[in-house]
Amino acid sequence: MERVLGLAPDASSARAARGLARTSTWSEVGCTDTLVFGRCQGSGKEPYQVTVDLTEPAFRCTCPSRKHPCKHGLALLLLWSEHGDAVGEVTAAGAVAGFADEWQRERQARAAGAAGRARAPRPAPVDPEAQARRQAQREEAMTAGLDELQRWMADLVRGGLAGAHRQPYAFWDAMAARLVDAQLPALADRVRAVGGAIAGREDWPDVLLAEMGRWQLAAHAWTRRAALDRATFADLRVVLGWPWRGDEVAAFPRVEDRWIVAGVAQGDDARIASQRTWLWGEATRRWVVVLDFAAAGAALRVPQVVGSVVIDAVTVHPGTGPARAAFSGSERVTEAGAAPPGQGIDAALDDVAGWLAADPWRERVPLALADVVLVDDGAGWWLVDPTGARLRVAAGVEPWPLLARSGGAPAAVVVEWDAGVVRPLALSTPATHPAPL
Amino acid sequence: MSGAVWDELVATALVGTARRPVPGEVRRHVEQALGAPAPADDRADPVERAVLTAAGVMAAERRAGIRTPEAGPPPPPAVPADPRPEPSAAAVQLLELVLGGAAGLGGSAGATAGTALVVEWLDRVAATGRVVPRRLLPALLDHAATAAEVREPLLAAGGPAGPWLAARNPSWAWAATTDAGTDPAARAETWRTGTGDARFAALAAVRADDPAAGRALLEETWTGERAADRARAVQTLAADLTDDDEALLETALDDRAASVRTAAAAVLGRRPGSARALRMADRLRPLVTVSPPDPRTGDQIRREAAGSDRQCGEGVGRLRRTLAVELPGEPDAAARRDGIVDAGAPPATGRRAWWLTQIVAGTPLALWTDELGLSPGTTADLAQAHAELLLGLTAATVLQADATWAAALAGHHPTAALLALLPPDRARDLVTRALRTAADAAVPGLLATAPGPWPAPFTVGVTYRLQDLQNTMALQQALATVAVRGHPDAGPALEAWIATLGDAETRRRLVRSTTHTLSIRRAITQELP
Repeated sequence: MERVLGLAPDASSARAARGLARTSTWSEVGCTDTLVFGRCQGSGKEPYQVTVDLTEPAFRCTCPSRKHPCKHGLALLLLWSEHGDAVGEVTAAGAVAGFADEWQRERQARAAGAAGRARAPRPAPVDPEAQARRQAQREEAMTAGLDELQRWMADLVRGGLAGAHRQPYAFWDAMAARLVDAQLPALADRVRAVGGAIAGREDWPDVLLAEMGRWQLAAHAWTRRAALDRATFADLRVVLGWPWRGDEVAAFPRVEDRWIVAGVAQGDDARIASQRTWLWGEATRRWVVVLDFAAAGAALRVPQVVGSVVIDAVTVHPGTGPARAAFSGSERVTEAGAAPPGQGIDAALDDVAGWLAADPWRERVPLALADVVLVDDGAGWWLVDPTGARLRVAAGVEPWPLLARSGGAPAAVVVEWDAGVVRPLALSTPATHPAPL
Repeated sequence: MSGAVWDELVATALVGTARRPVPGEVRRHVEQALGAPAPADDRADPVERAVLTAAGVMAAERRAGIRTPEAGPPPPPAVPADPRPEPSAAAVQLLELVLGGAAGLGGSAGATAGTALVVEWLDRVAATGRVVPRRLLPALLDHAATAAEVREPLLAAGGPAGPWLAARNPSWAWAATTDAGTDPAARAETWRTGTGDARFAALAAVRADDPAAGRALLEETWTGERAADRARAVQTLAADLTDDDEALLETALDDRAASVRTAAAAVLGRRPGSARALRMADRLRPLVTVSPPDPRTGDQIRREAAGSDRQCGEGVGRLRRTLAVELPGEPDAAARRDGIVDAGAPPATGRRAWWLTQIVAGTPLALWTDELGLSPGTTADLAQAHAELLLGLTAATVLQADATWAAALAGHHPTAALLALLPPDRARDLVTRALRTAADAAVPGLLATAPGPWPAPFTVGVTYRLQDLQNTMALQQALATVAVRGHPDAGPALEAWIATLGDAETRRRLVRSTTHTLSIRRAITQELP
């Protein structure tokens, strides 16, 4: 039961799921060896069709919730874990609800496809010449796009940025669209986002100029890309949005370790749901991050339980800082209650400085802080370590869960550092296991 | 790195390089940072690109170098540990279920039941020597912000962490420590210099330990208090009232503010031995005639009444006594000073009848037994014909907190205030009796007067009576009381009822929701043994 609730994206989902885990709200419940499914009467007219694949577990629900897994999926899993095979009468008949069956078939087909791609010997039909030609074309387009971006920025700086914060979003969107055409999608995202980032801010000139400076650095680095080391070039590819080809990813090193799930952050963009799972390798003593994305309404991967240890040889992407990683698919989740070793704020900021010196475009990094307390200075909340060093907590972060759990006593807190402010992800005390915040 | 260089750079970018030259130090900074000359001048826009490159380099340096050198406020002390153990995981899940609003308790009745369940959970936690896990406190404090009845139980079961957290969140201010500590001097200081609720909390705390000290504190500031505060302070005296408080209360009867006078009269009404009570008795005595006189002494009658199970109608047949009550004339100045007013009469009650009610309410109940030789039961019987008298007797009984009189009067008209003076079993017996003859519309009100928690037999008896209710609204209100006070063992009786309801969908749903709440309450008891 605890394991099931540990899958919940937040406490309110867990609570809601418990409330729904009553047979009276469900109909047509049944299960097979690998599937649990049922219809849950929600606020809508039609009951939601809910299916859980027990092998991962993976969830699907027809409800409009953007949380994943949603409360209906969790509730169904709770119901199943409490009543076991006794759920529903359908089991005996062996009939699987149509919607569940369909979903499972789709998933199996996808998995088979993925496995097929991975297993197949290097596809012979790849024509190295054609590939080189396509890459040259792409680099040409990117070069042209970056030239255009630099001219556009130079014009802005020549005329002065004074009116930039009054530009409509369409002004930034137009440039972003041209960057998308130039196959620079990640850079395009940053350009598109800056209009919102500077809106209503006192210090918008600093924010805008700093961000434009980063774009300029990216463009400058692109011109010198032949001279860059592999890791830095990888960082550059990330900021520009030049993804790795499947055969390149397949060749990335696999790093075997006991990976502690230190914290999970979910992004709430209107168009795309994202999830960052920060892992600390016990033996390799390094951070990696597993990224998951899903279009709005689609299913994000169920987050790993904070504090658990995942034994796996993860695929690690190249790059200078905490690297992107991917689970192998045969990972094993073991004990709970583990946390990465904490450090003081000054030492943690030294790490940040090192990472940013290598990768000036880096936005978020994880930090494991030891013995910090949460303090309110009247203007905002700070994490303070025993030396008095402080880190500002991002505006909008609810301090109460952290305060309540710690009771004001020094605690180990895993945070996501983002442009000078931190977002607490997990907390543990000498008496309590790590808990998501 | 110099912040001044960055500011210079931003200023240049804002105004535009067309109008403002790039400061040389910016260039030098770029070259130093890149370890090379700024991007070659053979490219387009060399100046602008230098500015942007410098911005990028410096932005990363600034971000990486963010430190907060100036010391902040020191961390407040951590909350002291509460030695009490925490409830089991299953018990915590029950609370989360109720707090999540997901306990299947729909609608506003559901919200009320939900709050009652939260209160029950908290009471149970405190009663079994446990403490609420700290991580649950934010949700509970949020809940208590809108449901005031949760507050006291939460403070009792939440340990020191509740006020500690609340002190940091203005929306939980009610839970922040208003306690001035246990030091009498500190409390006195709070009374003298504090504001609002904290003052009166301090006064009440001093009174509870030492009534005389509390009164002295109040007398010290009396003349400087605002009228509203004087009235509130007088009400504070009602708890822990002693004979020595009477002088101050008599002073308050002469207060220039009507609210203070009213408050003082109400507090004095609680003391049958007070001078005001004797004055009221003097006003009542000429108005009441009992015939024929009872040969027994007052002591005899009181003993009989106290030992008697038959609290009403006692002696009526034997003595055939009659009671005549005259209505009083216009109150004189002294009566007005004692708080006799014209306002507040029940509907369709004449002014003189209302004055009589107030006089009776202020008169010691001993007048009826000791002087007039009537037992409480006889008086109650005889008063049935005099509504204004009955009202006054009821008020006097409640004010003087007399259980014997309460039993006698509640036999005729059980009110919550009267029943509260009786042992719960006795009170419920009276409710059971009244339920037999009560009209449908009166049933929810009657049930609300029966003190909880109800034992199983009483609960089952109530559910049988409710099955006869035709009025759905009355049924809903009555079941809401059953849900929060009833015994969980009544579940089978309710299930049997549901089985008889057929397709009466609304009634089924109401009863079903009641059984659901009862089962949660049972689980709370089981998970918190």
